Amino acid sequence: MEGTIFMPRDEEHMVALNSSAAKSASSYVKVDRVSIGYRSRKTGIYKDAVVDLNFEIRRGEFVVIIGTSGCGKTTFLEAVAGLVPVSAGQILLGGKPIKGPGRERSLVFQSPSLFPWRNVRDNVLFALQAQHNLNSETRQRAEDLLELVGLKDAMGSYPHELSGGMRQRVNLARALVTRPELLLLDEPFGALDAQTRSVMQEELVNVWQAADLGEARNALFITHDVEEAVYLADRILVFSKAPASLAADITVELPRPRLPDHKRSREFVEYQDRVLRELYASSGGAPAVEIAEEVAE
Amino acid sequence: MSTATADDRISVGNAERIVKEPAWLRWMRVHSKVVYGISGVAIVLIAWQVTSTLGLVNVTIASDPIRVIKAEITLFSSGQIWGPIGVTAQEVGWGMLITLLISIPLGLILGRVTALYDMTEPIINVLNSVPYVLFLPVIIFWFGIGQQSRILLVIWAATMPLIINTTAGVRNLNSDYIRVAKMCCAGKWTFYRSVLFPATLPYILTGIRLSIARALVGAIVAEFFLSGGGLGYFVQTATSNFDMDSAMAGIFIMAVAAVVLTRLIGRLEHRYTHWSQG
Repeated sequence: MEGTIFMPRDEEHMVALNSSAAKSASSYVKVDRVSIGYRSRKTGIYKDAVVDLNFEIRRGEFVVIIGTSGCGKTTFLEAVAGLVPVSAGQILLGGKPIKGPGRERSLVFQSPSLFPWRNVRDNVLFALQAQHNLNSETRQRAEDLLELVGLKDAMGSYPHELSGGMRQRVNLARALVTRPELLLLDEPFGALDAQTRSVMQEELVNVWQAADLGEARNALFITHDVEEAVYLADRILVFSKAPASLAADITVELPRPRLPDHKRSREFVEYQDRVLRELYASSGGAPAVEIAEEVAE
Repeated sequence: MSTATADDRISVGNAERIVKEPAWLRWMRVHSKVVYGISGVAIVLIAWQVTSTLGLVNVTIASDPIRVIKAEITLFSSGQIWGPIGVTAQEVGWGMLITLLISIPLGLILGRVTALYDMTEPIINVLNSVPYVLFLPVIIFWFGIGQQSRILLVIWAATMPLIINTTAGVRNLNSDYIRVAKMCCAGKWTFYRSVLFPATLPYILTGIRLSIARALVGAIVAEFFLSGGGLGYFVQTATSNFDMDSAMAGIFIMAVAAVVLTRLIGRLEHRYTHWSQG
């Protein structure tokens, strides 16, 4: 059941959110001369995934990182998540360097990675259980979130009984239930079919803009889909091909709330073209064909 | 009127289906596996009974099903079989309990700590491949011929498959689960209890099934050599006294125990690891 979820859109709140995001220039994430590399386990050769990244993310921004497949953008996200160490420079979060995973961050994994022995509700509760924060209030929040992503009737189901889109919704609810300040999303809709993907994008926008959600006000979203990037982002960071560096920093000044219809507007298409040009320019000849194909589909 | 016709048509359709497949045939189709299984056992028992009744085999050497049933009734009504059953049950029970307490935590740890795994892998492989009965003289030399030694042999027989299976389960752990636990800031205890243990449970239950089979063999072998009672000792003594009916009755009890225990584990597997088969 891939039904669209209708939620009351709190227009007032969203206006407030937009203006506050625009006004506040306070830096939340500071990426300071960061390089990340890894040593291949087989050959022992050291390879750079990203080199010399410098940028800041302001409070309240929805930032999308776009780059070609295998360019190192996922590695960068994992470094922000604290799963991978940086090899040079530092990533500051609210002024403090990231040393490992933290409660203020949540990651929506590329594959749903749900525990197959737990039903939907208990999968979401795991995040709370791990942080020793399981009480009647947080339980209620878990149920509210599942209702928000349209899984009210599937709370007792097991992951193998769900479709890909539904699993990814549970993944999202699990990430949000701990009220993270920074939500990290690693190509969460990459494995879904085009239609489900578009529904999920809209839902993410809705959840992002939902008034009662509160804390998750910063998001870092990884994708290689240009349309997805423009639809979701306040700001798009274009990564060059591996080893990745920052090729372009594009602010998307499209109004919120964003609706699927906006995807056909002239401004939207212009932003798409601009992102595509930057990708093209930064990746050289060969990968550009790949990008053109992706956009064509 | 028109609705009535529609209902009629439906019931006619159902009637046709039932005519095509009689109820007993349907029952047979659904339960064919059980039916065939029971038939196989029945054929063997009947053949055994017929050959001994016709005098094709010597009843005093081969016994026959009816005589075994009679022996079973005598053994249970006189109560003399409860002693051996109790002894064997105690050996297997204590042996399995200690095996579970040792093997599962050890398997979980060995699977997680690569250095420990690499250190112990050759030893565990050797201990698993060398027939454990070979250690029996050594165990007797060290611990004597009491119940202690019999339980020790059961443990020796049963631990290895469970350790090996548990370790394999841990080493096959989906790395995504580890990442999820890390991202959720799960502590070591939460990780072991709520991620590692349930993820490994299908492997653990398979290991327990192998372990129980080996524990039963271990107990019987120990009783043969350490003659302190139990079903193994009972069958051995009965055979030496040319009481084949009692010997076969003892073997039958053991067979039932083995089937019941295996089924029990099967039920546990169905109950707790249904997600891994789905």
